[in-house]
Amino acid sequence: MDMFLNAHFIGSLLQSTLRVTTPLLLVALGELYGERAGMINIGLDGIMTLGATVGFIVGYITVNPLLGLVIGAVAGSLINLIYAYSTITLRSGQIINGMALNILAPALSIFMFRQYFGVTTKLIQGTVIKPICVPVLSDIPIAGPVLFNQNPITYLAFVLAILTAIFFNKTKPGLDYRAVGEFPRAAETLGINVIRKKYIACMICGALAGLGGAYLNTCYIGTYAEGVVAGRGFIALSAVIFGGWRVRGLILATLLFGFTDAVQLRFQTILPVIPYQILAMLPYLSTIAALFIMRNSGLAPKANGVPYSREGH
Amino acid sequence: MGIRFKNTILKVSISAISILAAILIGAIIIASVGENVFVAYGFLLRGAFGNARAIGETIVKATPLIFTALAAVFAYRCGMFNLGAEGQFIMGAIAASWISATLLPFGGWLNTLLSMIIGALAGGVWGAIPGLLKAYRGLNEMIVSILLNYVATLFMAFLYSGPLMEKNIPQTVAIFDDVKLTRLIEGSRVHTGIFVAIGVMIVASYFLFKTAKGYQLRVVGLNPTAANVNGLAVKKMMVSAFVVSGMIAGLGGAVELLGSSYRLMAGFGLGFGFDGVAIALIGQLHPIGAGLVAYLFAVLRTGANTMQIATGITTSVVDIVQAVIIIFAVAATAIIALPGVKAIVNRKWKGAEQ
Amino acid sequence: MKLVTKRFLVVMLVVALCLAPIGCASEEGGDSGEDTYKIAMIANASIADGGWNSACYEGMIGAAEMNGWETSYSENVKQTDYVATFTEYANLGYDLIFAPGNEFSDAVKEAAASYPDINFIVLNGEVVEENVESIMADNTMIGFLAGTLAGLKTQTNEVALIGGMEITPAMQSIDGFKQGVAYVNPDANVSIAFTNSWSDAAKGKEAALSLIDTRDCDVFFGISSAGDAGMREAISDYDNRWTIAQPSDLLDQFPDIILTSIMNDNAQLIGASMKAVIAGEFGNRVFQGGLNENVLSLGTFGESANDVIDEYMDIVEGIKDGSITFDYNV
Repeated sequence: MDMFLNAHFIGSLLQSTLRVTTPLLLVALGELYGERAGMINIGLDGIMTLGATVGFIVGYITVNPLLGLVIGAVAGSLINLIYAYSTITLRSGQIINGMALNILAPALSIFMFRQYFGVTTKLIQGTVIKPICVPVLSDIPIAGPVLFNQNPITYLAFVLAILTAIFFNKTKPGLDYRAVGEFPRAAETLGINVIRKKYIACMICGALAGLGGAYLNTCYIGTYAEGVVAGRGFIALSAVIFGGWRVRGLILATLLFGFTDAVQLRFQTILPVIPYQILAMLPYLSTIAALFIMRNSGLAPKANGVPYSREGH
Repeated sequence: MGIRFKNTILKVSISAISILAAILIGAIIIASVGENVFVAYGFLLRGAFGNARAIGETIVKATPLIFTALAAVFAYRCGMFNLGAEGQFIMGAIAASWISATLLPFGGWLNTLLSMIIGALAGGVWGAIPGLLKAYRGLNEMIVSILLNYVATLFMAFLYSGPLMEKNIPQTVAIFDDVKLTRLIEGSRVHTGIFVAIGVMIVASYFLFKTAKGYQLRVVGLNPTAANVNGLAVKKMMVSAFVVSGMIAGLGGAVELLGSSYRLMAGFGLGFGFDGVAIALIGQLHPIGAGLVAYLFAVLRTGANTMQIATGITTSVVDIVQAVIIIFAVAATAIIALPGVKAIVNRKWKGAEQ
Repeated sequence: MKLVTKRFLVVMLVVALCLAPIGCASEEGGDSGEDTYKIAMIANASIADGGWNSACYEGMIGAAEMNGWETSYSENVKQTDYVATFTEYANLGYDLIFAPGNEFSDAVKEAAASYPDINFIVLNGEVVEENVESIMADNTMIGFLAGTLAGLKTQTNEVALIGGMEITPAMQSIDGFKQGVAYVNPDANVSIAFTNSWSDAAKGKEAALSLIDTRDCDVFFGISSAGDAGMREAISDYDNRWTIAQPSDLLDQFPDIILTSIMNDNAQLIGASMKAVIAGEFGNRVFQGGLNENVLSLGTFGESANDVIDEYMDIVEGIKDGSITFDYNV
């Protein structure tokens, strides 16, 4: 085993962890903005799919993956308005509307993609945003590849995470924002427009989920296949709860998932005697185990998932 | 007319209107793809009701959905989100398959019964995990049950490509013929499992609305924070609600295996859990309502299958229509609950009575 | 209050209008003459998966074009709906129903018994009846062809295979691949990783990188559909890493890393069954196609294969003339 415990192995393992983590972190941050305003959105997987598809198509047509990323985020934000209208204005159930998005968005995606490309055996190859490799620094053992050879969006995701933490904990608008998810009625009496805040929350959530999806096909890999999201939205959703609705917890939760997923892929080659189906359980089981040990619940926004009305009903 | 009766009429008519509206949207989509709407919908109806085989196929499709929907109803009524019905469904089917494809302690129907009981128990055990973790460690049951879905699916994959594999084919050995659920009509696949589903539906309905325990459960579900005063009792209730929910899903998995699929392979049970939750919510969290909506879903899917085959309209269009139906159905029910709309409706009722 | 209902109606309208232009492009006309033969394919995943189902679909389209048949397909069909979908096509009078995988065997048996006049073909199956034929590309040969090339080319003596899930054709290819590597290079080690998905291209990239990190693998063979695309992207960032592509010729997409492509022409297989239907000779036949049946063929060789191409072509000839053999363990 010790042939694997060298600097190169660890460095590349951690590098892989960050790659796997990036989309999860982006989407989980989006969900955090949603849930901090009391909006649980189970439709993240669907929004990601739409973001991935739109992002890829735009990136392919314009040969500009960055534009793809942006439009993917816009598409995610727009489709989430259906959820926003139905849950905020009409006050229907959040879970069921999220589920509807999970059916609607992928179906729309497939439809659009096939209208444009048709059905082909060869996967369409687009352009990707390449990782930034800082010369010299990236040659440092372990820390080099991890810190100085990553995709720009990975850096963006972590910067966004830090900014989000500052926003929620240190700024007045952030505290107001949190009040919407904790005590909406009190927030309203303080002059905060709760309904508007909730709409904004849904747009941010949709945009980040769309961005996370678009990352998959404009940064991570350059091809598009139906089903490319592969359940990442649900993992991001669980990371928010696992992370105790705090940015720090959320980073740890997504990193844990990314790390165990990278580890299980390596175990498949190091320990071929263990069936891969068992190894593939590792990310899910370790998340449950970590939850069990940390048991940080009670931090949920108090009005999370509760429909809000001004009339006091 | 009693207020209650009026409310029921209102709810039913609102559901009907929203479904009609969604069908209208579907018509617009179909027309925009350049197909004849009436022909397409004609095929949809024919596919679901055209002959004995079609009607039977719809029931076959509805059966597992009824189980997972009931599982969701039961958990929701106790204020718990069970998003893990898929995993419990799969675990139930795994246990049933293990009994009915390898061990045969009894002959015939006794063994079928045993398979179903073991299946329900396995589902219950799998359901107990999120319930226990919620009650005693405070873990969010939604995410634990979602994560356990992945684990169950992988475990099933491990079994059908490992210990329970049939020769070299990644699927489990087919169950013995005399364990299979009897088919009801010649030329149709409809099997006795539908009676099990209806039975569970009636029992669940009776339990939730006619017994003291059921009442307690619903009280906990309506206001878990207030009920928390009782501490331990509530915890027990949470766990047992999850266990029962899991047992219903597990039984569903066993019935699906014994009545329809006969063996496990890739894709077994996929999506049934989330479908069940959607159905339960559209069915107003009432067992009978859930049963009816499950049937409606089955009608739509069987019909859509025929429509797609006969007209060539892509399945993604059918999926879009389905999502629109869900959105409209929940939006419409939500609208009548809005205070303003409620006031208007009440005024109208009064006017009608005068 | 009233405003809310009004708004709701407006939104409904907007949604309707948004969805309306979705289908600007219309479907190809469905009407046809009475005497055209019709074939339908049922897939349990997307037909655009860039792997197995795509190859099957293109095979059907190709065969239909050659023989003048009409085609139809159903995709993402669940296991519970196999029989219903078969009977649906049977009722519509399709002459041939194409089930691309052994997992359809139970359902084909059941449907074929109820519809003795309708013909079924199972790809990779074992079912044979009066109205059922089983056809298959020689997956073990695919693996052997890839394995021998990988074994010849490897410089680190570490070769890798990336799979999606453990399904029968995958297991056959893996079996052939191991035999192929061992045949030319007994010292080389074969590592296998599964992405547990047919659609997760990103996982394919991670799997390839992990194989490079843990074993320093330098020749890769991918049978994980979309995952293969991620794998190709991963190794194209490195020097001296290569891959063997399938099921179609992909050299133009990645000329630097692809040694060659093993092409799987299902159209030959399906076309043979179509001819049998027309001639009234269909049924009771198992047909396995390899190099000699023109079901398998090799694509264009990349420049990086230049150093081993002569030796490799000798092996390919040996397989064709029967002087080189391998076992069918799966």
